[in-house]
Amino acid sequence: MKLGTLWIALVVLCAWGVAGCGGGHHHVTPITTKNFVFYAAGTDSADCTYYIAGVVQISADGNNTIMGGVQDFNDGDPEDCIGTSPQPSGDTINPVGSSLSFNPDGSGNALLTLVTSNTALGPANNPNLPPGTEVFALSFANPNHALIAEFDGAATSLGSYDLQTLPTSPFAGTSFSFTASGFDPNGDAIAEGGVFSLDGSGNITGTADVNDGGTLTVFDIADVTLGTATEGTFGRGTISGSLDGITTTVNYYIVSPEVIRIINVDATDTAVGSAYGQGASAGTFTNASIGQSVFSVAGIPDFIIYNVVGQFTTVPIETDAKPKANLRGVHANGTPVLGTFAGIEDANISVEGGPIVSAEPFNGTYNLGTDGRGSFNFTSDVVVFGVYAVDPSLNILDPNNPLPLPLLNGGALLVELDADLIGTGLLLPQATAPVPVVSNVAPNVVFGAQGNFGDGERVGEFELLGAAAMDDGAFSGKGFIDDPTGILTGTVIGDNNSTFNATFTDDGLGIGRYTSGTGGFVATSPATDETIPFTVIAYDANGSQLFWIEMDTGISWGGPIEASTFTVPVGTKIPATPKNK
Amino acid sequence: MKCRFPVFGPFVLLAWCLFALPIYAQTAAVTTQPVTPLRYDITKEVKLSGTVSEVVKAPTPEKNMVSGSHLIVQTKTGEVDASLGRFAMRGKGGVSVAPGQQVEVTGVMKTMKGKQVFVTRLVQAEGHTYTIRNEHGFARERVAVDGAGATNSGSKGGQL
Repeated sequence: MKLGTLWIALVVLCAWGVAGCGGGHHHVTPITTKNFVFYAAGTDSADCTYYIAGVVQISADGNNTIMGGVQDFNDGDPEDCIGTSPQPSGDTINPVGSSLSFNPDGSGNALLTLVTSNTALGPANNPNLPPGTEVFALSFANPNHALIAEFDGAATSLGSYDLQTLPTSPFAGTSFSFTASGFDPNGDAIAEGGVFSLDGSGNITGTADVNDGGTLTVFDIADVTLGTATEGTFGRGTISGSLDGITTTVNYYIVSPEVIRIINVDATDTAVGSAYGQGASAGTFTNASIGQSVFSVAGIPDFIIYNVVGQFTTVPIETDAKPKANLRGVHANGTPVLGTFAGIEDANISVEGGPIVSAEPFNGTYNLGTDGRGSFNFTSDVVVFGVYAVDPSLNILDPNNPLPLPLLNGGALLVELDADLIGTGLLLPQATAPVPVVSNVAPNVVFGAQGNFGDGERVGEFELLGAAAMDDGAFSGKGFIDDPTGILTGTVIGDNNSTFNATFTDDGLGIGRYTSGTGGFVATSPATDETIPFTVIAYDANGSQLFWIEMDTGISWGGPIEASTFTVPVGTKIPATPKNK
Repeated sequence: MKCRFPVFGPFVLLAWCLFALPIYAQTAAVTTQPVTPLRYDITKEVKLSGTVSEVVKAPTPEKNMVSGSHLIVQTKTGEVDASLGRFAMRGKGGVSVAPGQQVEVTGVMKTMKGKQVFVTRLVQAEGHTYTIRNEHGFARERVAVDGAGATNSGSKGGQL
């Protein structure tokens, strides 16, 4: 470069610098930010079931700078575990040391590091991280939604991470369906679901079904208020009163005007859940609101361990109804109109010594009230699901991104309401014309699997998370294996460069059920040189949303597969040759 | 009586078979395996007394035992594998017994992993009563000692 050119360049740079600094005035251009709400459930460093929910503020300038945030952590056991975050403040997320870094391969996989004020959290044995640090694995399905799992050796979990859009006005006249699960002050597992409405003053009224350690109750929600959550509080607020019968402390985080995450922050019990709006359908639900669907139900992480995934069709009205039934949920004489359902399911309760059933037929009767609350009563087994319908235009898995027509949004939340199992789940409408086939699954997906394995000596939780290419059933993924206790292979694995390969085939039943074959889903950790075979079955709702289940004895997982706008780079595929487990 | 259309017979039968194919959303009986775990029937509870011969906090895979901790109790009628679940010996309030101690265990005998297992709800030892499962057989995340936490009821939630 000639000397004259250099001078010109320096002058231009200086001019830019002056302009960039506001010409010497002390004016700071505010950085535009986005808030993301996250929640997850799993097992913490003290081998305790834990829940976490929070909001992280990130710069929208493309640098993904963490600007702050707040979170609530709770494992409900301050004596033997960690306890809950200080209340009412929660844990502050500090910008210094926090970061969000995407894998440069373009897959949408990322690592989120949060430095919090809660020094009881995080990998205390990692001298490279200050106390209170949490690291999360993220697999983005699109810029506004990711699956999230804690990934720092201290805890493992699975949940959702979603762009926050605060409502411009208080919730008013809005109806919600909700579910939550955890354990009560006795240490009994608990799952609950219900419906509630908000008036303009934040008063909540509704009805909840509670399965508390196998004891079932119905609770009328009253004298409950939703505290104010504003921009300054990151959309975090407190629910005063009880949604299930006992005064307790519940914090909430607004994801959007129709989606709220809720977390119990009591000292000796804990739970996490979500509430979804019912939209314009509030008060008008009928049996016909639930048609052909896929569903997934799971227990409580590392506590009540089971997974059930299935598909069913419905006939929304009984054929021999007398007097002639209407579609408003009740007969003229007040008795519920019963629809019927029948389908196929795969269930794995083997980690706790229970059965495995595959492609098992089931049927039963169901009813959905106009308030969106109802139940599925299985006649083929002693099983009852509480069902709570949501806004038919709402995408439960990714609230910021409704599925495009002709795909169906909506669905319902589920709670297991019988004395033998305790868990929660989701129900998604299944495309019917045609029923999904494996060749039509989205070419790029993200996946999350929350699993447990009992090796005969101990039971531990693990997570698989990542992004994958799908090509006519050929699944080729890249992402995270998180096995902080080494339950899968005897070796602790925390590998963010893992690969996942399988060939899914349609089972021929014509219901969108795909199988990997025995040991046909292979997860490989290059960092530890471990290769782990799994036997997996997936149920397809619409080519963009699937639920899957692991079906080996003593091991099980559940979780979602969702279409992604990111692309998994070619070249990650390796031969599916299982080596050990 | 002769059939007028003997050739059609098989087709008629085939047609009936087609109509007899299962149709979704009917509630006709479905033969199915139970999708629920072995149920804990509190009416079948029994109380056993004996001497602890072994405390198994974490069984090795070779033992082929149900996961979680166990007490091997020598009773008058033989040795009993009392399964305590995964949480009973965890933490400060966990069950604390040692070999040679006299214990009384309350629970239900079941067949699990091909063996007789005594699914234990209560353990009484050294004057203490440990409640490790509720009346539905669900293991508790934390053990209640001497009635602390009491028994489960739907009105005691403390949840959302």
